[in-house]
Amino acid sequence: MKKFFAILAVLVLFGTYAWAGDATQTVNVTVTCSDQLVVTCQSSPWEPSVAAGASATSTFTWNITGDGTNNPVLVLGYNKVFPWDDGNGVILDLNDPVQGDWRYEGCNDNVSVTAEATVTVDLHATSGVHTFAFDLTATY
Amino acid sequence: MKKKIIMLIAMMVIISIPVLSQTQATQNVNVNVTCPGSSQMYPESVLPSENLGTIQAGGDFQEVGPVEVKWRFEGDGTNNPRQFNIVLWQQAVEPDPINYPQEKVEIQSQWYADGNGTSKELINSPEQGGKYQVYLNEGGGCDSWGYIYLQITGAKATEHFPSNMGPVVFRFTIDVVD
Repeated sequence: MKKFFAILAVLVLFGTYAWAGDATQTVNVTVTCSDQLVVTCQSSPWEPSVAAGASATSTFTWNITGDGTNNPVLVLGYNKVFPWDDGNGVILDLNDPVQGDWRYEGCNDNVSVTAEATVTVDLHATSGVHTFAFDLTATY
Repeated sequence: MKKKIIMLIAMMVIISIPVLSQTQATQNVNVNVTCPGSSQMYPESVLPSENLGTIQAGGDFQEVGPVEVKWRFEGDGTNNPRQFNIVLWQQAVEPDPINYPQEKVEIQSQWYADGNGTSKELINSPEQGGKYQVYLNEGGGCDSWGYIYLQITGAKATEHFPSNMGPVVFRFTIDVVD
């Protein structure tokens, strides 16, 4: 009888061990950024009042918000050629965009881009409002 | 075989072109241009020190000068012609109406405007208080200008005008309307 119980105990222990084997559960989380890569103007519109024969300067700032891919923006450029002469005595000149501290490391991270702008008005300019509009384009 | 190689190269080229996306933001610039000299008008002739000349009392108009009383218009940059108003135009002056009533000196004159870079343009039937327009040189930008002239060519004095009266002074004033 003792032998029977001993054998039974060994069987129970062995069965318990065999029943309690490892199992792995996998969870995949997909992270999406709320925005795609976005460029926003921080200085628009710029509306200086300039007397004929004078000039005005400003610094334009754009903010580029990342899409979380850590991929850098490949090209920054304008869709207009500068200096831009409107033919009525006003010239808008703009240097190339200067990239700020690039910390493009995840969703909503951003970088500032700046450029110096100069408006020159010659003596023959017509009075009133002269309008310019152009895009800063980020290619990635 | 050659065709296949070309197709393979073409496919490789196509595959190697990266797929690029673009995003942009628009910067607007509105420049308000003002003309420093807008609406200005000022005399350019040497009057009142200019002397028309000396005439004999009595008779019809005698030839004097000619003298041009001249005003300069500054453009306001609108490309529109400027308008002026003959505020004061003394065609006859009685220098001492109390002691010598009826004794006066009259001038013969004509108004002209400088018309858009061309020769002077005669202003027909001018009158005091009348409003006239003048086109400006150089297209009407901030550095454009124009001139108004009063050309005096004759003068006459009444028959008993006293010779000790001294020079008779005529005054002319114009103003910018617009």
